[in-house]
Amino acid sequence: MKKIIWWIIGIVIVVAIIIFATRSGSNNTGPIKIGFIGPLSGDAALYGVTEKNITDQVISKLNAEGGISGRQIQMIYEDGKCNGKDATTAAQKLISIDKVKVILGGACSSETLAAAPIAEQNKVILFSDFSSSPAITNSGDYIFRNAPSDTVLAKLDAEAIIAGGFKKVAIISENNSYGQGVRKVMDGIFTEKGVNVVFDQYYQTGSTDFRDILVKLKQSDADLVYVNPGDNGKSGALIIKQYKQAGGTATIHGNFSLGTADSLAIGGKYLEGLVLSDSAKLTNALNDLIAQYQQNTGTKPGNNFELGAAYDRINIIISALKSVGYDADKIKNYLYGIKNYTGALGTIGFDQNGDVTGGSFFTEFIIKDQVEVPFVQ
Amino acid sequence: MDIIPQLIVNSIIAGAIYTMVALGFNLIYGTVKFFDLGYGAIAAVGGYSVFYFYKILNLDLSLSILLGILISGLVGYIVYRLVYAPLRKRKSSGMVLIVAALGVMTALQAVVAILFTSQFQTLSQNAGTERVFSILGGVITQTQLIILILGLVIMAIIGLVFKFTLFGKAVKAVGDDEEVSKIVGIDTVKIIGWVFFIGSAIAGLAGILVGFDTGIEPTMGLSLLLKGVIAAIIGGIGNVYGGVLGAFLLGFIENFGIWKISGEWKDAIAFGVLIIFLLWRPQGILKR
Repeated sequence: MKKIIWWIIGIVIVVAIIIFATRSGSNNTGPIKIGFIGPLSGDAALYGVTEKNITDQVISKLNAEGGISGRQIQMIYEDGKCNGKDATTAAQKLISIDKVKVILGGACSSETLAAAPIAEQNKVILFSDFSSSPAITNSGDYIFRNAPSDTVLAKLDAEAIIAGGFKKVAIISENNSYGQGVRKVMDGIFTEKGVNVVFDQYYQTGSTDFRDILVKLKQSDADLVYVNPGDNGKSGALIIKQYKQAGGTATIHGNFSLGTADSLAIGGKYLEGLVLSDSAKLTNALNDLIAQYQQNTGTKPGNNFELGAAYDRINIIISALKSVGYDADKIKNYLYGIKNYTGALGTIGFDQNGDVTGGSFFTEFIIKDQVEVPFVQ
Repeated sequence: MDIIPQLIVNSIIAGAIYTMVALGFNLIYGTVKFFDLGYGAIAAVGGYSVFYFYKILNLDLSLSILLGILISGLVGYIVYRLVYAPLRKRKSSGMVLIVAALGVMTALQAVVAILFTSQFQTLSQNAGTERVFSILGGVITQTQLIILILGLVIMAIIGLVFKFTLFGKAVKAVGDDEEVSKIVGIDTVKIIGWVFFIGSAIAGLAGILVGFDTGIEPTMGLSLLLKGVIAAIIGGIGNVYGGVLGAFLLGFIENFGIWKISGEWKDAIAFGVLIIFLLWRPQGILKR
């Protein structure tokens, strides 16, 4: 009997502490908390770190100038590790413990897709600057992004292949949200246009040895290979390297991620002649931003487009906070109302799905002497 | 084109990489009889040492590789003296040792990631200049050929040392019965220390070679280790030649197994083979 009384007292104390702790967390005079989910470690870390650096720059400047109506902004960075599992944990932590109303993230589509249902259910804004999976379009009312969907990129890549007159196409894709998202769009276009897909296989994220798949790829006798990685381009560069080492001769096209510094370093001369999509001509604002970023951090951004997108994203959120305050529903309506926002990526807006409109983001490039130059058929 | 020659060459390349790992693992396991998970992280230590000396400090290639091998061996030895030796002295159970080894692996990987970030890096200086050889209609790169040759050379050296030197006999004796070895006057702590140094140096070399073939990342060791362990178990654990045989057998089964099915099932095939061996021939192909 005595034991039970002790148990009850114990439970009461724990509950009291929890109530007390959560109460003191939400007040209207403390800092405005903004969550962040992105890959801060692992293969895709360069993207997350770029976003974190530029966001920090903007926020520390704002805080030094007095914040928003006297309230400081507090960023809470969580590592989504470019996978759904860690992004889910991060989203739950940000929403239930830190009680944020706005989450910037994720960078990888796997992160955004995993965090989206949690954000939607809790009525928290989730704003990605780099996730391009087509599935994000319909993932919820509170989910926004200023990165164009893969449908845009995949269409561009598919059109370049069709215009090149290739008849037997091989697609080799990473088995994650990004790779599969692109693959589905391309497959659809190819079927429609009568291009024969002679090889269509996946590899697991994290693979570094592709000799097994490449043997079969070579056997398929494709005249074009579309390399479709879903990471920082590392796996794609390795595939091209190993394919060429094994004596592969087909023309190679690839997706956006093959243009990263990592990919170019790993692939080196093997990437010569690779056709890929990348950010179109940079705006002056973005060029300035890149120069400033390099000066402040001493490193190159993971990706130029992403730097601009992350910069625009935090500025859009700041302008929302300034006009409607720290209220997720009001911020949501404010974002849907944006039709002509001019930032580092040009003039953009949001459609009824929270997808970005306007802006001419991408075009095809070819790699010559290890640098991207515009591609002309 | 004909697919079979390339499948054979791929099997041999895979077998050569597994051989390197299985040799060092077998040496350590055969002597101390516990599953040294930390061994996997040593491969990353080797790879990153070369990355540091060769690509950051721009030292000579062969000097960098030599330093990488020595550092790997030294790290392995230090880990043994600091962690495993005291635990073994206390007669800790195998469970305690495996948990300690898991800790060693995680800690080493973390240190590597802190020093060099977890980004994927390549060791080769200018990609695109590597020589490629054509054998029997299949293709093999220069690095892969070096891996194959070194694997066989190390196997031969270990085999000869075990057979003809006093040190080799002492290692065998410790592996057979540590207590009796002590009684007859073998300095077991010293012998096991050397075994850890040599085994870890081989692991470091494996990490370095894989780094030149594909690339390095802090977590590269675990998958290498697991394949090496499967090779060691199906070949006959503790047996030098068995490990090599197992490595090539595994390479062939894996690469031919995915002939008709998708390549992503390679690991499933490897572990399937492991289970079959554990159930019906736990001692492996060749007995110790």
